[in-house]
Amino acid sequence: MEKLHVERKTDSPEIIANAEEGYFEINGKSLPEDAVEFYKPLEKYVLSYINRPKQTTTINLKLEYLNSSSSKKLLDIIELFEKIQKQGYEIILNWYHHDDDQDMIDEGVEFAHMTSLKVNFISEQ
Amino acid sequence: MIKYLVTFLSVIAFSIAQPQDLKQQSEKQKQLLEVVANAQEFEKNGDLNNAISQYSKAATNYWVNGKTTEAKKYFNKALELSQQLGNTNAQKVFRTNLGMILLDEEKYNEALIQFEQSLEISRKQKNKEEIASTLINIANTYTEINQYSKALTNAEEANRIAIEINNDKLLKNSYSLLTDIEKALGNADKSAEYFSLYSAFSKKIQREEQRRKEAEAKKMVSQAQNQLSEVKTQKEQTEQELNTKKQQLESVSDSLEQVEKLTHEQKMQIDLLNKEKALKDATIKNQLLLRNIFIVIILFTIGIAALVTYYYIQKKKSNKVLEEQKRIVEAKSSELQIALNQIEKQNRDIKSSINYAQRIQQALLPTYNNLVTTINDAFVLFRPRETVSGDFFWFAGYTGKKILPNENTRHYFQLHNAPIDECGFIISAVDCTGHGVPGAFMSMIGLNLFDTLVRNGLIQPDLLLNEMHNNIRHLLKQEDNDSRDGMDMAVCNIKADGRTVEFAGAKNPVYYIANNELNVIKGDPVPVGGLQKEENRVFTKHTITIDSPTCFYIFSDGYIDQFGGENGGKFSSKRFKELLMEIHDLPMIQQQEILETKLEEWQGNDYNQIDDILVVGFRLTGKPFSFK
Repeated sequence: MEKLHVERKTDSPEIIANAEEGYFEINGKSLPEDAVEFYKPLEKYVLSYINRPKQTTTINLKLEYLNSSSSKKLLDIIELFEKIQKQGYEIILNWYHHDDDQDMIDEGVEFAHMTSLKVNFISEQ
Repeated sequence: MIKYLVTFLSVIAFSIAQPQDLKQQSEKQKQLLEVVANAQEFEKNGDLNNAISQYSKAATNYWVNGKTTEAKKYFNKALELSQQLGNTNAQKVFRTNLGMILLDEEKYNEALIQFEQSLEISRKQKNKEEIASTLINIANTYTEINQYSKALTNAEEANRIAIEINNDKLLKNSYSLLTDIEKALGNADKSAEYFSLYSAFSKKIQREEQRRKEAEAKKMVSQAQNQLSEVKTQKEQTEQELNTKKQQLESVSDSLEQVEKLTHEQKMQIDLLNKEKALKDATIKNQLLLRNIFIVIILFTIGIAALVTYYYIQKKKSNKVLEEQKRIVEAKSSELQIALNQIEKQNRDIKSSINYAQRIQQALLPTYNNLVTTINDAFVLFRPRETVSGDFFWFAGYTGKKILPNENTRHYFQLHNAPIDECGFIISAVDCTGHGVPGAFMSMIGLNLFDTLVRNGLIQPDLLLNEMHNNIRHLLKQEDNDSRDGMDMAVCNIKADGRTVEFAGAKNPVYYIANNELNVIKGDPVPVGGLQKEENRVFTKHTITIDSPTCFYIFSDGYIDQFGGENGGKFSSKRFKELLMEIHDLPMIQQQEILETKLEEWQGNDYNQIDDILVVGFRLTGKPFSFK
């Protein structure tokens, strides 16, 4: 499967999806006008990935901001990974946040609450 | 006058003439003196012949000039020297001359002495002509002194000798003398006879003289003619020679001229040829130069023409391209204009429909007045990102049946399913999923649900959220789909005693500042509406008791998440808290102003609003509602 790469924009984050390595990353600010439309390519990619997943999948979320609709769409995608975890595949979900960005920590906490996956909080300087 | 003038003129004429005469005389005098000096020189040196000759010459000249004294002096000198030499001929001549001079001076006796002595010499020499001539002179002298008989004797002797020697001149002179003597002696017949003889000889002499003169003249003429013809001949010869020479010369000169001419012509021709050649060369050179210049000019012209043409074509091409592009652009721009017009129209339509929608939304939103009649110190900072908002606020007072509405509670909800003495004020800040129109749609649901649920007595915030959650899921049929659309919200229920605030939050917290301390009560981490994994979604109720004036703040995440500042970061809850701490003592309405100012400062010119912004603030002092 080919890699998926979406460039970063002012209102949308960079997306990296590499099925061969089982690696996914969302990086930046997410406030697109239509979050459903923006995340559709990633959603499709993940949908096909979960048919032949790697034993271990790493998901790095390095978000500076996400609006409510982005947050909800992101939860939809994460939910897809929950399925393969139930099949015995390992899913590592990392929530990166700036050291002092309490808002993103809170966001992550709320996010974690909405998923059955374990969320690792990783603080960056 | 005229007399004087004549005299004057004469004087002038004399003075002009005189020097000439004087000069001539003095010249003559000088010459004569020289002659005399020469004669004396010869005499001194013993050359007597030359001396005689010179003295004679001088004497003759003096005699001619009338100076008889000098003439006699030098004739006597010459006579003296002739006597020394014994030259009788010379003595005879000088004595005759002296006799003639003395005769003229009327010194007849002295003259007779000289003539007698001369006659004696002539008799000795037997020279008859001389004797006759001298006898005539003696006879003349005697005639002068009237001694006619002596005169007659001498004259008759002279006449005889003249007849003898047949000398016409002597005959004439002797007959003339005899005529005069015979007349004086009274012999008229003899005198007449002698006169006729004299006349005959005189005429004869005249004729002979005439003849002689004529012959001489003839001779001179013929001589002259001879000489003339000779001269003529010579002249002719000379002329001929001259002509010949001239001709020769001319021919030579002609040939020379011809040669010269030829040479000149040749030279001219050569020059001409040279010049022609030079001219030709120059012409050729000129022509070459001209040709080259012409070629250069032509090439240049062609070059320029080509360039111009090229540029013209290029320009035409580019013009064509440009025109095409222009046409396309124009077409496109007209298309675009049409599209723009359409879009503008659509936009206008949408805007006007949204504007209309906004009026509906605003109509549904509670009025600020309703808030401040119950809670005097409060603000609502409401700044939708677009015309209609996904954020909304809701508040309302409520009373149980026991409490009758008054001026202040006119808008309070009369609760049916609630304790009759219940009274309070519910205030809420809601952030619907999305913003703009979809947000506004959600807000419609939310606003409607608030009205409905609160009216039905759901005044406890947690219960209110629970029921709202269920209602949204039901309304949006979220049991059947995976829609996550919902609302984050904070709800406060302020009891009428003014000392108790109940709070429940769906993802959103409440901040309150009391005693200069900021407290945060987080809401539950789940929204209202959307996916529900849990069996039942139950929100948590928090109760805050107010002992001192307390400011409450409920809000959507729009303010905190707004990008801006130097690094484009979020305003952040941290900064928000700090700001609230700074300003919470101020009247709420002033706090709103500061919050707005700070937000604008944070955004600056570079950052647009990213989401709807809503902050609701109110201060409770712990006093019961005034109307209770």
